[in-house]
Amino acid sequence: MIAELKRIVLAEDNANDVELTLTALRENHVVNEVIVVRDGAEVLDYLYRRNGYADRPPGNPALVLLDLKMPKLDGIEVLRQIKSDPAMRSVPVVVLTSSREERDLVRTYDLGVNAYVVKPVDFHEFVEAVKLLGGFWAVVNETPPGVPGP
Amino acid sequence: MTRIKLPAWHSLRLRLPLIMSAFIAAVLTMFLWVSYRQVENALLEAGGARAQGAADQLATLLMQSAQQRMTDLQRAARSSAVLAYLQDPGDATAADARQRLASLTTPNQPAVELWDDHGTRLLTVSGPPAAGRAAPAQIAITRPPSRTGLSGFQVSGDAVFWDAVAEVDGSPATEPPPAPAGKRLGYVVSRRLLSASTSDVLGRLIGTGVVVQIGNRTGDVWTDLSKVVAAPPVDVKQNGVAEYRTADGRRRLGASALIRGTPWAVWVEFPRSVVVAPAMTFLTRMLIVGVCFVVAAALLARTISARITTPLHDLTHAAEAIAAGTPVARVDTNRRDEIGRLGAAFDTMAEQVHGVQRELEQRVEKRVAELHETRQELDGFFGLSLDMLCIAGTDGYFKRLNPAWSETLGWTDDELRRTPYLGFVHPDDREATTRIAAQLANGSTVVQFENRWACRDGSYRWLQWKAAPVPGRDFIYGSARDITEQKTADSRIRGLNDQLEQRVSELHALSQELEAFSYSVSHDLRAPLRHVTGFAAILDKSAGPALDEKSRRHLRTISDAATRMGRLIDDLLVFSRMGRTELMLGRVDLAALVADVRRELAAETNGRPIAWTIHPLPVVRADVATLRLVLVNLMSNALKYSATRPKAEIEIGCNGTPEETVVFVRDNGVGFDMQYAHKLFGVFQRLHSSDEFEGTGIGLANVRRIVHRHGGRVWAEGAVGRGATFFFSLPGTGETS
Repeated sequence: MIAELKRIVLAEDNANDVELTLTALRENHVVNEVIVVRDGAEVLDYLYRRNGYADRPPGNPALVLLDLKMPKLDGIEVLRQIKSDPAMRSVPVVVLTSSREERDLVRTYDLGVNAYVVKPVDFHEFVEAVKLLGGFWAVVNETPPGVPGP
Repeated sequence: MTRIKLPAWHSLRLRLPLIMSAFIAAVLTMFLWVSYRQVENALLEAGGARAQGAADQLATLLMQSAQQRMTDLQRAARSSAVLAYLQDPGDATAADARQRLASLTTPNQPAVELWDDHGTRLLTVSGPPAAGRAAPAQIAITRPPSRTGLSGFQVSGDAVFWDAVAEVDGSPATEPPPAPAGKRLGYVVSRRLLSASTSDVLGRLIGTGVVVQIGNRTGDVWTDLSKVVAAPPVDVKQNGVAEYRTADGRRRLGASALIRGTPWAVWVEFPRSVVVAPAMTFLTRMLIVGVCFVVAAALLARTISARITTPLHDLTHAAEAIAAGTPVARVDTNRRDEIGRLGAAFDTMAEQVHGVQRELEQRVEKRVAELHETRQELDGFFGLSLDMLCIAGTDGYFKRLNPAWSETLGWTDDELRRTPYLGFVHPDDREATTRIAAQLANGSTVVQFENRWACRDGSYRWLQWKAAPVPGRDFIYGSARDITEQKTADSRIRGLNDQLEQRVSELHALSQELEAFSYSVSHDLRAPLRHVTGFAAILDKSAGPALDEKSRRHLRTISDAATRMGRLIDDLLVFSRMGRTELMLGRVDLAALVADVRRELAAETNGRPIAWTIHPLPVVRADVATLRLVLVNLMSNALKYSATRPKAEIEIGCNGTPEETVVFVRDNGVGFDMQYAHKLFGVFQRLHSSDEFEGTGIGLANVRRIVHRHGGRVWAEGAVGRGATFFFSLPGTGETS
């Protein structure tokens, strides 16, 4: 059933963070296709198949990983739009951010975020956090051939 | 007190009998008058009836008498002797006729004559003369009779007489007629004097005082049977009662009656006074009775009024005596009626009035003394008051001022009182002052009014006023206070407040900047560190086996340093947040909180021996989340710095004072040098190296910040190697849990 694996959308403007996040996902054997977008507007373009994503295969992603500080539309605004659209509301959104600010946490939960993950400075801790995420949201988890299961 | 003089005619004693008598007299008079009139009317009616009866009776008698005469005459006229004489006049027949005619003569009817049809007197027969009467000759018939029947009365001298004429027609009823019937041969005429005796009979019959008059209906000849009189001045042509007044004013009542068969009428009259005499008698008797009655009533009324007024008089005297100031006056009526009760009530009242008066006098004396004392006190206070007290007239001048005025403004008391006070008021405040003075004059009380007053040295002082009008008098009580200093201070405070507000808004802006800064730090400063550790970790994984030991150590150092910096940033953010988050104050059970923190920290002790000594702790008012942080910091410090001891001893307790609750955490750890005690609570200040005891140096800074935000203090005591004691206080006395 690999062909039916849904995609993961990663919204992150920082290339280093993109690489680290992808590495962490890989370390955790997440095999879903990861679509990387660089700003909030692009997230919505992807979700609503607009502009550059008009031709993408239909279907909502399995998970949206959302950074809060992004160019154009920030993560809070993207979250608000997703959660206020009945068609999109069911898409799980996990906020991945550097911020430990309480008000960010409160606002995203008010808007209906599914999870909130503070990116730890220590990379190993980050890998652990992503591991939990993958298991928790049941993104995948068909173990690819030749790779040991988690 | 003037005694009220009562005029005699106002006295009830006189007026009551007078009024009663007058009333009774009036009623009686009216009654008498009406009765008298009724009696009089009845008497007049009866009198009239009596007169009419008498007149009728008399008329009947006279009529019978006249008819008798006429019948006698007619019988003589038809006698054969007369007839014979007329048919055959001669001496022989004349003698017979004369004899026949002579039988008719009486003293009252002295002459009977025979006339022939041609008016020639044939025979005259005279009777004996009546005593005292005029000779029949004097009343001799001088004219031939004109018709038969009775004639009216005629007068001749004193004599009143009448004629009766009968026809001799030759048709005798008793004797056969010698001449053809129906032929008149002559007349027999008799002349009759009116008899005086009739009057006496009638007088006896009717009563004394009665006057009977007879006369012709035509009124030409009337007589009272003794002499000729004037006809009565009433209508005598018909029967009826009438009344008239004589020339001398006397009233007479009478009745007339016509005498049938004759041209006469009869009149019977009485003096009216005789008729109404019984009415006068009745009136007189009733008057006497009435007067007696009135007098009796007056006497009775006088007695009664005397009975009522005498006690009243006494009461009046007593009341006047009390009014005049006599302490007690009694009435003592000794009566059981209303008057007696009034008297008794008066006596009671008089005693009470006396009592009340005495009490009032005592109270007045006491009050006067008190007033005097109060006045002295007031004067004392008036002079002593630091406030400026005054009494001002509505005429614009001060009447009285206390010394505070001169002390404050520098003017003398005289100067202040001789100038209208408005002259001392600052020109800019005069309008408002005049307005306030008008309000006071209208009766309003004024509080918190402020104006400026000139001092002798040319400066102005601010005075704050409270003033009230004196009801009913043209005065105002005023109390003023020099608030110049306060005004100056106020303006200074206002300036400071403005500054403070500006500082606050600056501080607020700063705080917002700080928040933005820490937000930015939170997001952006940590990302590079994460990248350092992340890529170091990836490098270690990918190239680790190829690197030598030294390179690997360097790689680890890079990662550790970045991680440590991340922790420092996190702690700094927490510290920053500690200064901004709002405190939610509530009741916090310190004992429970300490126990909770102890459980939490137990994991970190790794089972090393620790002796906890927890004293009783109170319930305090604090924000539970931040207070928990304080305890976590202090208790974990205690654990950390006593870790080197074989057996850690940690003691937690509380010392309360009325102002604050002081909590301490004591350990037997490495302690510190008191000369660095001031550095303990600074941010990133450490007295030990990270190698000795790990830590960022932010924990105690947080403790201080939280406690300060609660309004408390923190301090520490200790000595190197002898343990340390950390104190923090919270305001207010805690309750012992």
